[in-house]
Amino acid sequence: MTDPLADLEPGRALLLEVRSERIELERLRESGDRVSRSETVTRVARVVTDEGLGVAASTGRDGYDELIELARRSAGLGAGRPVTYPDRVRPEDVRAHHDEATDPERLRELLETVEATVPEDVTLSAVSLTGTLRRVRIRVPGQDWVERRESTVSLSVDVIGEFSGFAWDAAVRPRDLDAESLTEEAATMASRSPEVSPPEGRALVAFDPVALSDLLNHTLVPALSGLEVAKGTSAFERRDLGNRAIEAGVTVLNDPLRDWWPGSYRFDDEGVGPSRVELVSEGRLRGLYTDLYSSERLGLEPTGSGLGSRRPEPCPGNVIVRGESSREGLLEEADLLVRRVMGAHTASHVSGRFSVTGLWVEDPEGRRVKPCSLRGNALTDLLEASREVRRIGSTGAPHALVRCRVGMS
Amino acid sequence: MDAERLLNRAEEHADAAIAYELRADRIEVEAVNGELRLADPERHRGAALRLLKDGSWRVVHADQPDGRDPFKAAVRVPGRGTADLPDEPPAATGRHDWTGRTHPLDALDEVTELALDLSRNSPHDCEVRCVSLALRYRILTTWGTEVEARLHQTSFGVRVSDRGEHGREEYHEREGATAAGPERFLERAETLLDRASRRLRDLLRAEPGPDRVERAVLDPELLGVLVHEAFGHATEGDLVARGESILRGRLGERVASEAVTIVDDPTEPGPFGAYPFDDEGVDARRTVLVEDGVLRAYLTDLTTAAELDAPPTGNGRAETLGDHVQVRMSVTYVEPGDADREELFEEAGDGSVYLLGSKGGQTDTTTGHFQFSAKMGYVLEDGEPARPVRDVGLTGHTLRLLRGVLLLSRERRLHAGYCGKGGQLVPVSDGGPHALIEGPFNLRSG
Repeated sequence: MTDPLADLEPGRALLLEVRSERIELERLRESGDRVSRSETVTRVARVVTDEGLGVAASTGRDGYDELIELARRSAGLGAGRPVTYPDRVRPEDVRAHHDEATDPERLRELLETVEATVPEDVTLSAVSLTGTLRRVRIRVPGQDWVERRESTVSLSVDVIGEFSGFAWDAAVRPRDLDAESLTEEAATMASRSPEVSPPEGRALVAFDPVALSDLLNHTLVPALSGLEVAKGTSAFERRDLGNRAIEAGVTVLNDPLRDWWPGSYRFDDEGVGPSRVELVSEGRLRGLYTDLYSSERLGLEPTGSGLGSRRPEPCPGNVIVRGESSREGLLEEADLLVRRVMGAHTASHVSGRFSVTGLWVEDPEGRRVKPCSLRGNALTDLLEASREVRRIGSTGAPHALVRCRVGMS
Repeated sequence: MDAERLLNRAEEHADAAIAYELRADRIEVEAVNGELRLADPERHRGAALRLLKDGSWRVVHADQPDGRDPFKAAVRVPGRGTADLPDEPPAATGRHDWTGRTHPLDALDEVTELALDLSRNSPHDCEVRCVSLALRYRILTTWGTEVEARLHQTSFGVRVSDRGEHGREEYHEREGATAAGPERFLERAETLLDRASRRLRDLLRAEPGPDRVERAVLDPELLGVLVHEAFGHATEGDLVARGESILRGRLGERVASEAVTIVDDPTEPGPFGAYPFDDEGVDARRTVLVEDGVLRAYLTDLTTAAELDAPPTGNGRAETLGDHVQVRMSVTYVEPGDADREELFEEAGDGSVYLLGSKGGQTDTTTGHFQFSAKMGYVLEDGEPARPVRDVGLTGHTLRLLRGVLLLSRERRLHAGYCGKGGQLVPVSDGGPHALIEGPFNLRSG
């Protein structure tokens, strides 16, 4: 068999194979269990020519020879700016995979834990557990296949009581999911109807780590993508590096090398080893997460954040946001505490402005507040954040104090 | 492995089964500011089996390169439930040809050239995208379904952004269609970009919207998204069965003002969310959800039709062959009224706001609370849209919103989008006429 990369120069081509195995268990009120299992294999060829970067992908029987020809056609059209792939792929050392993630018995144990934990005053409406295992192999001219593995197991719990409640988390291993705590959290949210009306007008609102991670993952985090900055669709520009980025003196770290966190990987989908990057330090913009394309556009070093099997784009690994305040002090200052929001995906990473509905909101006396609209700017109204951080999926988030306008929903 | 062989093997071991065969060719093109980022062809081939065994649905999607047998994996996974089919599940047969004029792979060069030209010549930062898909798929079931479709689907969008007096703003527009190949992009993209650029120029000089208004006029796009998100999801039979719908137990009750009739109808080729049959092989059909303000039906797939003892409505859809079928909307819209749009502006009164487009939203279907963001708005003065406003969010409660509908205009426009549920995205269309709605509404964000 001939080597499909034989005629291609180092740095000018890359082959990728992604094998993905997914198992999903669901327990639904009234209809019982549902199980799904899928296995997919995607093959991708990327070829760099003087005109551009061509990509072709297949989930069928196409071989790499055929894909390379299709990719050459794409490159001939001038698609993508030519990039230079690494001569050798050098995997970093990080633990990002565990076989138990797709073990149906382990997933079923978690499901039973959820069911056993639900208190009598609420009803479990749905539990969903999804385990995925991905094996990504990369080849560049002159080097044999290099493999990385990563796994994720995610759990979501929906319950209904006087109100509705939900909770979610994802981890590399089933053992890192605290099914009891998540179920209790969802049950607490559902167990009581909101009692009091919110104070209307300006207020200091404490966001708990779950609500804050939801907000920041749609505002600050995408604004720190090298591609968004290069395209002009970020709140920041290249020249802002070194300047004040956000009001609060927070630090934002992108760390794809954290053992057993679900945003970790050994090399990215362009064959670049990931690096730990401080994106924001004490409120100042220090870096961006980049792939080969955006790093070249911006004149920055690639951070090994190019993820995506076809045409990678910069994606954060594990993002850890941390402040300098104490959680207790911060909560004492707050007029309201919000623990779950809805509609964070409508926020803008171009302006930072957001308008969300607070679903689980408490006043300083611990009374439940009726759902209300919370409006502000995640970049200029984020005033302070706590030192203590909670992991939710691949985000480490603190409590934070945000200046908001509050209105009845 | 082909669908017949998969089904033959499944019949011995499962209570019921659905077998799938799919071939897809796809192109994706994206140009940004005169630079081509993507011009990528893709090919997909796959087979899948969905089995009902011990009251539990199992889905196995296995690609063919390894020649592995997906059947063994499906029966091995344990699971027990109460899922069932209706006593006589509908067994559709037939072939449907919903193709456009051009195959996507034959138009890659032309699409690329236009995307580059448009993004290069725009006075603003500009991104132009087009995705065009040619699908051929078959569905066979153990109860006699045998359907096949050839379908073209094309979606495209433009995003323009620039820095104005108040910082950077962006505006995007999207269109999508079935039974249309890439020729739809070639014919419509320039018009779409012109419209987005005009709106962006207004947005760049826009002021923050008023904090609160008593009445608002919604354009068809925002009304469609609101009806889809805030109301339509609550009609989905799986959420109704699980008690996660504010509409559970309300069939025959008034849930909206008399002006409101809401329909889900995927039957006609053209709209982005249309299809000839759903992913359980059930023929598409028109379902009246609300008639003159009264709730008339829930949407169902086969499992929820059995659970709710309701007719199957052909709304069982999955994003990929490997996903579970869920109850999903298709082409969902509010029937037009008989007013002129200008009449709505006049009735709204000075100081009210005309809200345009949607940047997305979310609803808690159990309680009915929702959160949406419009792309922009105009404050009404002398019965006309006058001052542009930005950062307009809309929070509220589903039933209060629908009961507040006062007047509907006589036109109907549909918009293409993707709807997310349970981690799956499917193409949908939603829309309707312009609507005058009694609030009050909290509007301003940021």
